[in-house]
Amino acid sequence: MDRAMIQAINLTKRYEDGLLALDHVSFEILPGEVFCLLGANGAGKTTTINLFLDFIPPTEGEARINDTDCHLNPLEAKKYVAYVSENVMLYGNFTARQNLDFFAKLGGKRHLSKKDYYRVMAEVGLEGKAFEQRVKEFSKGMRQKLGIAIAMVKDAPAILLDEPTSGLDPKAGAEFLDLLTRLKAQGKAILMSTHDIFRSKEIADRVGIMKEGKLVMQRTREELGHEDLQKLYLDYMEAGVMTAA
Amino acid sequence: MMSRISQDTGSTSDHLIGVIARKELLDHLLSLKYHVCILAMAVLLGLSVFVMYRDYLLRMEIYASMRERARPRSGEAGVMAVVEPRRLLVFAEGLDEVLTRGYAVTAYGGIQPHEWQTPVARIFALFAPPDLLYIVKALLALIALLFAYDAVSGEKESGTLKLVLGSAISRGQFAARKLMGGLATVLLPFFTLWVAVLLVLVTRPSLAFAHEDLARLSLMFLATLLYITAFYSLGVLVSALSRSSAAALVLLLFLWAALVFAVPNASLRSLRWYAW
Repeated sequence: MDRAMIQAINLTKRYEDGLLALDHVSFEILPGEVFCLLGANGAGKTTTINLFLDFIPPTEGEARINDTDCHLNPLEAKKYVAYVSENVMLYGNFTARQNLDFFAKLGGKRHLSKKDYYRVMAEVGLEGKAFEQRVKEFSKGMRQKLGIAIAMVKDAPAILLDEPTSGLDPKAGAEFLDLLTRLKAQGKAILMSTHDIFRSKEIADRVGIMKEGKLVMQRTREELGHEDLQKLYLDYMEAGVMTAA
Repeated sequence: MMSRISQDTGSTSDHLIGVIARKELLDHLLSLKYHVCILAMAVLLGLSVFVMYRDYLLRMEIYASMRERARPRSGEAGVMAVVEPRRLLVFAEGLDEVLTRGYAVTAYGGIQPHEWQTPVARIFALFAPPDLLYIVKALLALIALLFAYDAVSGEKESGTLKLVLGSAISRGQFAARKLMGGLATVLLPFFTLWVAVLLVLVTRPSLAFAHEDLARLSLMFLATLLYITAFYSLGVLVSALSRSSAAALVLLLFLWAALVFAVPNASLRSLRWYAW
């Protein structure tokens, strides 16, 4: 059996003002698996991702990537993870290729050629004329694609996506899902926080619903079967908080 | 493609120094701010050296006339000493303005400013001398802060900070490399302009720099490096602690005015008051 690539073990975060943002959340994601975290704003989805990137320290529990504790050994853990944020802004004065080159080198890929960058950008669906275009002229969909290209070029086994489809038009959203399917086929473990129930049902191998910092439901694609995920989500949002088994 | 990429080597600390510092340098080079600042720097540096060089020539004329008058004549007691203007005043006036040019040396009266003392005509009598020292102290420090104020807060606002820190790089390493790249952006063009001006001055027959002048100039280079590093570091620190770039800019402009003008003037006044 495969070892979990992304693992949350009783992950808890309480801020200094006393707010409990995350309450003993546990899950694991295997290579080649997509785990979608659903939940309203403030449910704790982004906090979970921030803990995996060691942007904030956990109050209790562990966030692990490739069996490395993200808080105790963050630089080692981050070698195995690529991150795509909700609004991929990048460096506006740089071209798409220059941005890709910078982040590739930051990720340790020093010997990639222009051709390699062009190939990855073509893979994510960017048009040729955009390769040497300044990123400040890009639409949100194009920036999102470039963000995915950055994650792809790092070639990390774990990918964290923080609401990557928010604000994308239907075509760009569909292309994005296509990309995720290809990354999944390459064996990447993907954690995606999202509001998008429909796309989650389409792509996720497992879905978790978060409410008030707790993971109140966790189901596999098989367990969900023909269940209406939207109805399930709304039921959980209206019901009291109970932790998922 | 991916398998080929995955064979590449991992990141090392030395490698990341270059990557972030180069990015920082390139990011500034592509901005309008950089070109405006470099143009202002070049114009002011050129004007400053032109004005100060003319001032030096005037001082030399006065010096020559005083030397002529100071030659011992029959019936005069004692001797007269005349101080030559320093060549480096084209870069930094220093104490030359307040220095008395001629001294009478007598057996009983000791050394006293001579009655022939001629004041140097100054174009900028009401202002601070527009020398290189002033340009570094006020303008270059301001330029350093203008480049540093959004070094971290700008990345926070644009969302790139999370992407960069999502890589295997610590916050300290990131800040240090931003500092290096930013300092290179400010200091490299300034030192290049300075050296260019120096090369032009060296060709002037009236300004024959000696070895000790060049040694002093090296010290001025070093002091500029340290001074601007301190200001740029302050800018990066405030930028990292501020919620927004606008807040960082306001605070840094206040600190610049305080550190460059208010504190030195207030200290001098306090000292004079205390000594009196």
